[in-house]
Formats: sequence, C-alpha cells, structure tokens
Amino acid sequence: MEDDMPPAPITPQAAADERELVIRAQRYEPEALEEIYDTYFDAVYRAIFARVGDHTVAEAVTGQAFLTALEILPKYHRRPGGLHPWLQYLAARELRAHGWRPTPGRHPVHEADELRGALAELTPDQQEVLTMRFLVGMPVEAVAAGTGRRRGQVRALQHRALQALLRLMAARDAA
Amino acid sequence: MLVESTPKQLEEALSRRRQGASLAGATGLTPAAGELEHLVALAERIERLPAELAPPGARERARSRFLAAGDRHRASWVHQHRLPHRAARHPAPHHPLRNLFLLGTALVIALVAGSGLALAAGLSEPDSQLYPAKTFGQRVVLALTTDPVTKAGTEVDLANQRFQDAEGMAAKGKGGLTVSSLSAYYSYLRDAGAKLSGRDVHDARWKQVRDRLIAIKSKTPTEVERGLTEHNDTVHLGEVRQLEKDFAADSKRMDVALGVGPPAKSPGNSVNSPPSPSPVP
Repeated sequence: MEDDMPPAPITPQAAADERELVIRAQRYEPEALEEIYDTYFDAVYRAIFARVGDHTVAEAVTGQAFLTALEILPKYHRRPGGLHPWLQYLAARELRAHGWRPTPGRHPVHEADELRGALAELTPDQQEVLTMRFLVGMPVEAVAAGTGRRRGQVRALQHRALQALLRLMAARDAA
Repeated sequence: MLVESTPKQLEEALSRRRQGASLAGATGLTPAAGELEHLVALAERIERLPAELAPPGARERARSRFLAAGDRHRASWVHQHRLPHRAARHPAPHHPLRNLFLLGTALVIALVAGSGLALAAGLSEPDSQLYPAKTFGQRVVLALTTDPVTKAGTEVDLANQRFQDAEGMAAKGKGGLTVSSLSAYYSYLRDAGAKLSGRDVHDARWKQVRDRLIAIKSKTPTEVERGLTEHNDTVHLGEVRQLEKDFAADSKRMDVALGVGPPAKSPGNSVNSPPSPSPVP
C-alpha cells in the first residue's frame, strides 16, 4: 500500500510548500482546499475501505472526515508528518464515531471479512494505530505526529494491538 | 506456550521483513520468534486487506460537498476578518472664531498646567525631582533684579528658605542635602551682607532689609545638628559645624559693616571692607 501513498512532505521545499498550502487553506481559499482534497482523498478513502469493505460506509466516513477537517483547520498546527497523518487520524476517529460494526451473525464470506470483524473489536486507539501503520503504510514517526503520541507509545500500542488481534483471530478460529 | 515479544523486537522484525527478509529470517532466533512470526504475519494480512478507490460518482459527490462547505467557511472567515467599516470623514464646518477658540483653550490649559507645575516646584524640597526647577526659577528672579537693596532682600528670603530646607533634610537623615542647603543659606547671607554694606544711602528700605538679614543670620542650626545626631550622621554633622564656624567670623565683620556691632579694630574689619561674596549654588 505504501506505493499508493501521496508523497510525504519531507524535503524542506515540500515542507515549505505544505506550510504555504495550510496557511491558504486556513483562509479557506478554494484552490488550496481543492489541492488538499485531490492530494489526500484517495489515500484516506482506501484506508477506510480496507477497514470496512463497503463503499457506502467508506464514502460517508471519508467525506465526513474531510468536513471535520474544514471545521478545525484554523486550529491546525503543522506537525512533522504533515497533513496526511492528521487526515488519516480524523478519518479513523470518524469511523469510530460512525459506529460501524461487521454485520452480526453473518458468516464471513472470506478471510478479509473475518479480519475486519476482529479489527472492529479492538479498542479505538488500537484500531487507529493499526490502520495508519499497516493500511496506510505510515512510518512510526508519522503515526506519532498524527496522533499526538511519542514513538515509543506508538510502538507499544501497535504491539499490544497485534497481540490482541491475534487472540481474537484464534478465538474466532476455535469457534 | 509462546514467549512474549517486545515492541522493539516487533518493530525490528517488521523492518527486516520490509527489507526483503523471509518471515523466519525477520523474526530471528530469539525465544520470542514464535510469537513474532504470528504478529508479523498478521500485520501483513492487514496490509493485504483489499483497498479500493472510491467509485467516480462517490468521489465527485464527496468533493462537491467538501468544496461547498469550504465556500461557506470562506464566507464566514471573510466576515470575521474583514476590516472594520469606517465612515468617510468630512471636514468639520469652519467657524470664523474656531481657531481663536482653540488657541484660547490651549492657553488656558497651558496656564493651568504651568501654574500647577510651578506651584508643585515651589513647594518641593531638596529631595524632590522638581527642586532643581525651583532653584533655577529663584536664580532667574535674582538675575533679573537690578536694584542691590531689593536683590539683597530676595537673598535674605532665599537664605531663610535654605535654612528651613536644611532642617527638613536633617530630620529625614539626608546629610548630604542638609549640608548643601546650609551652605546655600550662608552663601545667600554673605551676598546680601556684601550688597547692603556697599550702599552709601541707608534709607528706611535699606534698614528694613538689614534688620531682616540680622534676624535671619542670628539663627543657629541647632535643629539641624540634632537631626543629624539622631541619625548618627557624624560625617555631615562635622561639615555643618565647620560651615557654622566659618560663617561666625564673617558674621562679626558683617555686623560691623552694617552698623550693628562694635567698631572694627583693624583695617580689614572696616565698614568699607565687607565679607567677600561667595557663589550661590
């Protein structure tokens, strides 16, 4: 999935460009908003779709995440990872607020549905970290910047999340 | 029973796996290798979850909603950040007496402010910021007075003021200001005595000023010395006593010159050789 990610603004020029983009977006200049949407929408949508496997839910959650971003843009302070981790973080939060759950009682059609169902049983923080790390393909530093955690905290959370997911999958297999 | 791995081991295994190592190679030979293999494999299953792009219709719908909301925010932002409305300024109608009125008002303000400042300066003591303004004004008054008798009378008044200043400063324990005030007191007395003794006409006005001079110079700095003693300021107390001693001799010659003391026994103490004036600070 990392190949599908928009280029991360890591060079000084890219960082300066994004800083300028954020300043214009905080004034709600239409061109700046279009640039943000066109750059990051697909990456955010794909991550959400991978979680839910449902275009309707992915459209609703991603759309709402971008609307939330508009609301709080004036308070956005640039973080090392840039806009992308922030938008992924907002989308993960939006998915939790949306209350999506796998259809109860439905037998998993294939392996992906089983994994999505187990993922949905993790805590919200664990879901966020696994989504950003493995569905979006972000490095630990970017996840830390996007979620406001330290790198060590992200690594520990990721470790606990995978262990919990392993137990859930084993329980499902046993059932 | 699997041995539990650590977050650091997991991160290192994931990193090695991304660099192309086999699953077994990535997890290494640690006791936790068994659990690590399961965790890395699970992470890769998550990565393989089918991720699809939004259908074109859905993408455009979301885009339209986003940009429309952006327009609403833009309107709100512009409303909040626009410059305050200012009405165009028209020149006020010009009345023929307007300038005269403004000038009069300015003069009244200047008079009131100037009088207040002058009053404050006049009431100030040597330890006040306004005191230099007070003494400067007094020196100007002296400089503008040409008649020697009138000038001597003013110097007698100023000597009296300096004496009171010295008493006030001694009571506050400000020895330096006490000494300078007392020094000015003696200087004004000497100057006044010199001017009066240099006059040949001893009319009623001259006698009136002379009598005031005699009365003022007869003061003794008892209160000054007591104030400095109470503050244990022996240094300035010594200076005060020296000033008093220095003036004592001049005072006697002044009495002779002004016709209130016994006749002089030596040519240096004659009426025509008054004490030499000293500069007034």
